[in-house]
Order: sequence, then structure tokens, then C-alpha cells
Amino acid sequence: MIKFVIVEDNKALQEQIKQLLIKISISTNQEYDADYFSKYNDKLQTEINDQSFRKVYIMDIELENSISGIEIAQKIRENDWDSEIIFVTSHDKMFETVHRNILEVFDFIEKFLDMDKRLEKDILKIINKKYDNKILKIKGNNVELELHMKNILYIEKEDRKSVIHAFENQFKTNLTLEKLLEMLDDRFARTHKSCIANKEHIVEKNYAKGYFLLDTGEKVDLLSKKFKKEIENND
Amino acid sequence: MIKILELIIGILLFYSFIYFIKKVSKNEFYNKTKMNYFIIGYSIFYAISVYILNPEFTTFITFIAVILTHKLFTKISNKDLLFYTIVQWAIGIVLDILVMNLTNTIVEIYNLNTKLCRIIGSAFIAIIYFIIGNNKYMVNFINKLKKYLYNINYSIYILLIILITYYYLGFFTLKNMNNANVPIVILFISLFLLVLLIWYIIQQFQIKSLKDSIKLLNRNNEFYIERIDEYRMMKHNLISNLNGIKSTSNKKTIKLIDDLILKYKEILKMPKNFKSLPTGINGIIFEKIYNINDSSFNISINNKIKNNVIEVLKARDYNNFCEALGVTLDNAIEAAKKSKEKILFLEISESNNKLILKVINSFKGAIDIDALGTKNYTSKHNGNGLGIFSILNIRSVKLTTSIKDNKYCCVITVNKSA
Repeated sequence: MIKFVIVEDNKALQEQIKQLLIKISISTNQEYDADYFSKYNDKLQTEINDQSFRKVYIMDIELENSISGIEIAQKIRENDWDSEIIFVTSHDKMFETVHRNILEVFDFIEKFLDMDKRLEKDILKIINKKYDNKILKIKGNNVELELHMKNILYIEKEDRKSVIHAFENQFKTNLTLEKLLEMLDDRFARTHKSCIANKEHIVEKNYAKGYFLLDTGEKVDLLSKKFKKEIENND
Repeated sequence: MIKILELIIGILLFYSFIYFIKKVSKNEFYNKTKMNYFIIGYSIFYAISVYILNPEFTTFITFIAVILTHKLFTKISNKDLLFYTIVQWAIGIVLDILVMNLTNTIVEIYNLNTKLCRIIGSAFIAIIYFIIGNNKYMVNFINKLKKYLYNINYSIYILLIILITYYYLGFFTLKNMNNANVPIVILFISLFLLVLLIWYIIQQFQIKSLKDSIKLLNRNNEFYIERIDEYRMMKHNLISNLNGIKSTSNKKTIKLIDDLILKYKEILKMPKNFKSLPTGINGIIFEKIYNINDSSFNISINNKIKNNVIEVLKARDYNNFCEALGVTLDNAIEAAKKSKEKILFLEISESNNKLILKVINSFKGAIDIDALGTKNYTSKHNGNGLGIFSILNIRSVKLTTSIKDNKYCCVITVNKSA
């Protein structure tokens, strides 16, 4: 079951969203629950604190007599990174890009431009979305690293460090490959004595030539026949 | 008669040894009365040994007596005494062999009294000691050699080994005095060993000097690097501090500060129209953002502080806050520029007793999470690894950093003034 939390000070718009949710629920046969708020208050904070449900927040940014939707989103993200946030707004694009990234906002929908259609599309996407929020947490001396496992491509041994290759970045750590493998889930397997790979990102394996290809196009020459059983078993 | 002459020459030799060591070590005797009694006592003992004991024993007594005289009546150190005794023995052995060999030849050619010739030879050796002791070049050479030797580690052990070797060599020479060839061979060996020893000491000294020079250079180098780092940190912090002061200044002061900043920063893109510069923290942020010049940048700035920041912080904390803000923003802008999303999020908020600065930026590249924040670690190509390190060293400012996928987040907390 999904829980919707709507924070909108415009009663007409609240009603419009309510109708839309009913419509979606019928068409998808999806059970849902919804709470409606017109401003930030203790009740809303209690709702934010309760993480027993997978939630979708639909919020206005500008709220009368209340802190803004962005600030509410920040409060949500203090502990909860699994729930989805959709903003119903009229802010400019730069503002949207930053907060989409920083607060992991699912979408910014313009209030007066096909709001119903966009919102319906987004909710359907959320319902059908495969939830995968498993995180690898590593504590460095002065920094804490949190990486979504789905974003990790492979980990290789370089000198005495382990290098975690993500989509855009690489992170070096003193942790051993053995220790990292313990911390990761079963989508990861040893491909070589110096490499752990995320099998979900592997598109081609060539044991004869000792390499595997990733969905990013990167070719990694760290595939050993010795680990074939381990790689293929869980595929 | 010969025995009396032997006794006189023996005591003369003893005096020459003491005189030689006194001169080269440049030590003065104190309590001369006691010393005279000691020498008289030695002379009596020596006389008894000449008449009763064998020559090997008299040599040993002289050796001990010379050392005791200097030890008891001068302030010479044990190490110095050992060194000068060895030198005295080294000279003695060479001279002894030379003189004895010469006297043996003379005795054989002219058929003279052997003992008398040897007594004359000993007197000659004693005179040589007096001459060397008074020769400033020889004294300087011996002391230079001492300096070289003392610079070598474990030199005291080398001295001891040499001393024992010489003692046995001298003993051996005396025992084989009748065979003319033996002293010649020993003479050459002794000379060879002496030259070799001096060469070795000089070589060791040079190696030691080189090692010391390298050590000094390394120390200087480390000191230089530390100063350079301090200078960089100071320069950066100074600019941040000046920006902080500027943010609370009037137009004239702003111009003066800008002039100062330009001195420390050669290329500084700054807004020329100072009228448009916001005051307070916003001014500092504006100056940093102004330099971006990239339309694809996604920036969000949210300053939630209602009052001016300087009003909620102590002056020193305000400076520290500006310093941390400057470093964090510079790092964030530089890192975000290289990333695909080019995101920069900045938020300044306050709680009951704290001021909180949050900077989040996207980044692209490699980060060593165990080395981040340590001195000289940098993830930038042209960085010096002092930025975060310097913030971590500001006591009143607490820095927390975290990375979430491709977002780098810095939270700086400063306590508000009571």
C-alpha cells in the first residue's frame, strides 16, 4: 500500500488531487491512503517521522502561514530517502534542477499546465517503480560515504586501496575487497582476485579473453575463470 | 752506572710523555704539589722496577702512570685522554723502532756499548716528544684528527682497539729487539697502518659531514614546505577574512580592502560596481558566485538568517565563519564546474544556539575517503590539500562532510554568541 501526503493550501487544488488519486486507485487497483495538510504543523511532522509506510509527498512550494514546501522536503530528507516527493510549483528551472538533485525530488509540476496529466503519469511511474534503495555506507577519517548499490559498477584493487567505480566518480578506501563484499548484497560477485562487479551492470562476459563489458560501455579486464561459478550461479 | 742512566732516562721519558699530552690536549695541571709527590712516588717505583722487574713491566707502569697523572691532576675527559695516549704511543712506537734500528746498526758497525746507545736513543725520543709538543702544526694536526675521529660513531671503540693493538705491538717489538729485521717490518706495518687509519678517519668524517649536510638540507626542506603551506593557508584565510570585514564595511573601506586583496591574489574577477554588492554574508557569496561565469550552473542559495550574521556571532567566530565559507565555496564551485550536473546548493540557517552553513555540490572525479581532510591531500589537479585541513583546525568551527552518490555535502556549524 502507498500512502499519499498532500500539502497544499489551496482547497480547490487539494480536491483536484484527491479526485485524481481515486481515479488512479481504481484504474490500477492499487490500495492507497491519503492525508491532507494545508500547512506545516505538528501532525505533519508526526507523519514525516512515521516511516512505516512507503509515501508519496505531493506538495506546494509556497504555503501561506507556514514554512515552504522546500523546507518540509528538507525535514523529510533528514531521515527518509525512500519516500517520493512531487512539487506542484511555478518556480524557475534552475531552482528545480538544484532541488531535484539535492532533495531527490521526483518531479516539479507546473500548477496550471496540464497538472492532472503530469501528476497521473508521475504517480503511475512511482507505483510501477522498482524500489532499490540499498546503500553502501563507509566511514572515512573525515567523511562519510553513502553510495546506492545500484550506482556502483565495480570495485577494483589498486595498490593497497580498493577503488569503487560509480557512474561518475571513483572512491578510494582502505577497506579490503573481502570486507566490501560482505557489506554488499548478492548482486555483487567476485570476478577476479582484484575485482568485485555489480552483475546488473554487466552486459557481456568473455572468460577466454578475461574481460567484461558494462552497460556504460566500459571494458574491464578483470574477469577470471576461477570465479565463473560464483558469477554465473547467482545470475 | 748504566742502571742509573737507565733510570734517569726512564723518568725523562715519562716526563716527555706527560709534557706531550699536556701540550696537545692544552690542559693545565692543578694541585702541582700533590702531582710532584705522585711523580716522585712513580720514580721510586720505576727505579725499583728497573732494578728488580723486567723491561716489559716498566713499560706497563709508565703507561698507567701517564694516564693516572693526567686523570688525577688535569680536567681532561676520559675520551680525550684515551685519544692522546694512543697518539703518544703511535709516535713512540714509530720513533722507538727507528731509533732502536739505528742504534743496532751503529753498535754493529762501531762495536759500541749496546745499552748506552739505547739510553742515548731513548733520550733522543724524549727530546722529539718535547719538540712535537711545542710544534703548533703538529698539535693542530693531532687535534684536527681528534675532531674527525670524534665525528665517527663508536669512535671510542676504535680508539680502544688501536690502543690494545699498539700495546701488543710495542710489547712484541721490545721482545724481538735483537733481530734487526723485525723492527723494520713492524716500522713499515705501523706506518702503513697509521696512514691507513688517518685516511679512514678522514673518509669517515667526510661521510659523516655529508650525512649531516643531507640531514640539514632535508630539515630545511621540510621547514620550507611547512612555511609554504602556512603561507598558502594564511593567504587564503586572509582573503576570506578580508572578505568578511568587507561584508560589514562602508564604501571607502571596501575599496581599501579590495586593494589589499589584489595584492594577494593576482587574478581576481570582482564586480567593479561596488554599489551593487550586497552586505553581510550575502556579499561574500555574491563575490564567489560572480566568478563562475557559466550559464549551465545550477545554483540555489538560501540565507535563512534574518539578522546580519555578524550580529549573532562573536567577531573572531565571524572571521572563522567567513574563512570556512570561503574555502568551502571555492572547493564546491571548482568541483561542481567539472561535474555533469553543475549543482551548487547553499543554505545558511540558525538554530537556538548555532549557525549552520550547508554547502552541497555535484562533483566528478576520484576521492580518497580515508585521506580527505588530511594535510596535503587534494582531489584537484592544482590543489594543495590545505583547504579542508585548515577548516578542521579551526576550533570554533565544526565541519562535517559527507558524500551521497555524486553529491558532496559540507556542514559547518558555529556557536552563536551568548
